[in-house]
Amino acid sequence: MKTPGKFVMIVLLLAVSLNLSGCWDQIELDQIALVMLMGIDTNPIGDGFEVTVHVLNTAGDGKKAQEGSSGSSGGSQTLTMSCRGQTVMDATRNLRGRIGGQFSFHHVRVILIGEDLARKGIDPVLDFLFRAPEIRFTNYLLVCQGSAKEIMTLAPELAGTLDEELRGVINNQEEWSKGYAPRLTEFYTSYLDQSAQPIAGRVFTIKPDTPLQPEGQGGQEQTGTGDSVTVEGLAVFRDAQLAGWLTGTETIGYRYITGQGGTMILVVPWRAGLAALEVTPDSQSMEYVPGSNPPHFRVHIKTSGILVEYTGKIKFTNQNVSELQALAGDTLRELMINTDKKAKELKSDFLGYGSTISRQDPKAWQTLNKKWRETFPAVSTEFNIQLNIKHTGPILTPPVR
Amino acid sequence: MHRPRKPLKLWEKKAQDLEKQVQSQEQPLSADLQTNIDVLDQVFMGCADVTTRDFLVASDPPRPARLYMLRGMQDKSIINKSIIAPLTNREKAEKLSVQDIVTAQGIQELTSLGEVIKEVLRSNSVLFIHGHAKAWMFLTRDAKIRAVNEPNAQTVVRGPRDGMIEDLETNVSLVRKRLKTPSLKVAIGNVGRRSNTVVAVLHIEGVADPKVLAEVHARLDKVDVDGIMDSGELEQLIEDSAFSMFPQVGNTERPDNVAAALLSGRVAIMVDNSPFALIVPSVFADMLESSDDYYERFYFASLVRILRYILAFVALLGPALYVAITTFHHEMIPTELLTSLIRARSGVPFPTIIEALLIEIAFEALREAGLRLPKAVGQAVSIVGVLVIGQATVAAGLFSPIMIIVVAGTGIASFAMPAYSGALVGRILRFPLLLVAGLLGLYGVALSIAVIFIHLVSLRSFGVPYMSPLAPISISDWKDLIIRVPTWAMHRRPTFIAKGDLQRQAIKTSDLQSGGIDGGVKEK
Repeated sequence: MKTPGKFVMIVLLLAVSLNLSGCWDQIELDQIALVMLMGIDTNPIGDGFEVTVHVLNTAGDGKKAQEGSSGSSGGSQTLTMSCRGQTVMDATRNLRGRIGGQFSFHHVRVILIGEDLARKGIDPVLDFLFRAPEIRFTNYLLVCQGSAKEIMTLAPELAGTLDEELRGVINNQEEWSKGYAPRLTEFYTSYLDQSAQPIAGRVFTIKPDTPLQPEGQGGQEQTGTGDSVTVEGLAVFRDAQLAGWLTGTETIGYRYITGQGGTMILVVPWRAGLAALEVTPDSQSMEYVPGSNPPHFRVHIKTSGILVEYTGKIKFTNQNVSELQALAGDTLRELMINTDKKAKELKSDFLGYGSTISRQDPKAWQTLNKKWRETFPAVSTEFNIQLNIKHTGPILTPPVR
Repeated sequence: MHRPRKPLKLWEKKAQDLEKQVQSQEQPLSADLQTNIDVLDQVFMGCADVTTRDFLVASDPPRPARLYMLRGMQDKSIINKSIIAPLTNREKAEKLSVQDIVTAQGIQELTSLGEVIKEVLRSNSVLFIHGHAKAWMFLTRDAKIRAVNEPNAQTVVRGPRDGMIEDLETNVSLVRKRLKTPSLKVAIGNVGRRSNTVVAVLHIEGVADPKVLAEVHARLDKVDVDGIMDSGELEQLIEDSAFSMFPQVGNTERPDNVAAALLSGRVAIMVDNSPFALIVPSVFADMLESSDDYYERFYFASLVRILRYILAFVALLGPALYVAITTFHHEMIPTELLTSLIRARSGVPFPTIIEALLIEIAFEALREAGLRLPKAVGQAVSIVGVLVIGQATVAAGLFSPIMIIVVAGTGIASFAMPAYSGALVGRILRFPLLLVAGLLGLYGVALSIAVIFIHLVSLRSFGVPYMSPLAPISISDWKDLIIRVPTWAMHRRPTFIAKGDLQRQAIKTSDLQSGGIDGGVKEK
């Protein structure tokens, strides 16, 4: 037989290679079960975990999308389902028996952790979250009061899906400061850092029509029975375990002390009325006083405020304003002191005292490091707060007839 | 396998013989009119369009004469008034030479039979006078040609409106009208054994690269075909890489484009009976340039250039990227977009790659059908296209609307390419790219792009690298690449094409002192 020419050989060899590579990770869009939100709880019966997911609901939605009313017609945009397993991965694989599509976790952007699991310690879950290539490091990490599964059964209010609603609230926090949700990387860095403690966002349910609890009393009373989700306050960790919760106002303290501050509304009672100031942080620094024992810190925070509301009847003058300024500074300092107290109560150094020493005095830290757990509650802090009222709005005199 | 050679049919053989006769006719003319007539009668036997007119030249003694001409392409009044009338006029005909008597233009003396045949077939008239061993040729041609009007294929908003036509002489004169300099050289030659098509090679002496010019002449000399119907045929015979998909020869039907190309040092080849002139060397960037770019102000021109480069990529890669990303890399798509993509695709019965191929084929079919149909019916095709492809298939759930958008967007992008032959490359390459994207995902797309670029940098157009001025890099020529700098800043001709006089416009002394805008001009 005549041997085929070189060209024919090359074509044949290339044709063989078509079978070799590619295609294996090909998946048609309609076969994807797109996971939008993922919640991890402890297994309520026995060991292991229970994973709850929100999957994009595409069943029979093709027609609906064309009618231009996707989602609003009838059923919800997502399906909720949960499965148990010995490990998180095991549980997610068990989910595959439930649905025809192929699960894709690439587009999860919020991860919820149940309270039980957080109290027990989330280190086994952390490993999964960082080892699994499908989980993005930019995911927001939120800890639920109660179980994640319960929260995930709630319907979103404004947005189409719960994860959208949660992300919307998280985005709002920059203008509110009463909540904070770190991304996975941020949690992981502070978890690995021996001189710091990690924090996560806090999710709980409220009843929208019950009156809000007065500030400072904590949100714990509000949980469990509500049917609306809110992301407020903080979940504070001691190592991998949940140590406790921070309320909204305490979270403001956390944000300002650590320099993560956003805009906030500071309400100051002043001269038979309430003055509301919109405060924005300008600069923040934490200073370790070397050689002090127990360690002493100075926190300098410069902020500026704008008067946005006043319920009293007094005309503003320069003297007035500087009085209000001083008063507001004191109020702000109170917030910081409260948060500081809470940190010592929870025995969790999430405010970054330890890492300040390790940065500013590494030698001292080498000795302090060993018994920092015991030393930490004893540290003293001095807060230097400057609040500069920039202006009082377009009117000087309140509208009085 | 050897197929037994068929014996030539008689008429084929005869035709070949005659062709040989014409080609090798160096046979001198006879002084005897009847001998010449006998030979020519044999040559033109069966050519009903060759007519003759016998008359007596009123010399002393009167001599019989015969005028050969082609029917239909002659200016009869010139023949009557300027040739026959003076020759039969006794007073005038007594003078000695035909040149002095005949008042028609372009008198030329022919001495060989071959020349006579050629000139008659070129629809000039040829005169034989008994007793002279030569013939006289007169330019009496009056070709019925189309008027010069606006070009159809390469339209501009601003700029000259005259387009070239099917007559070579008119086309050359349209260029000459723009370049009134003796350094514009026009060389005339013949291509085609049977068609004897006149081909003109234009260049500007001292600007065009002599090597390129020599190469053009060498390649044209080597062309050995029986006929050339359009410059497009000649292009395929003289291009560098015959198997490449990319056109290595530019074409234009705008005389202003030809003139501008000549000024940049290129060589133009014009073919009789074709309104399209060939421009060599032609590089990749030329496909994305339009003469508008130079007539509009540079801000807009630059913006449009950038847009064209983007659209060229879209035209080539649009469906391939869509298929690759949605079937292999859905994690790259923003979540909100992905959810709407998934919703739009649910219920579509075909895999994405098949869906893309089907719509692409439908789109190409529509485009081809619209092109071939008479203009009045072409409307119907677009209506069918809009209703069937745009509405019904989506409503029936056969295709996802997103895919229709992608293919339609790609179609629009490919229309934005100024060079039609360049847009064709995108239309062809889109299909293999689509297949590779469906098989290997983005990896395959990246691989294909690498292959295309490797091919592109290996191409040459008449010795000039195809990717110039990008590869090999010549930064000073980037002034007219993606960004078109203002006209006053374009001091030099493209250095990768022009040789010799590179300076386009005077440079201010201040520029020279500071080294010039482009790093100083070497004065020769």
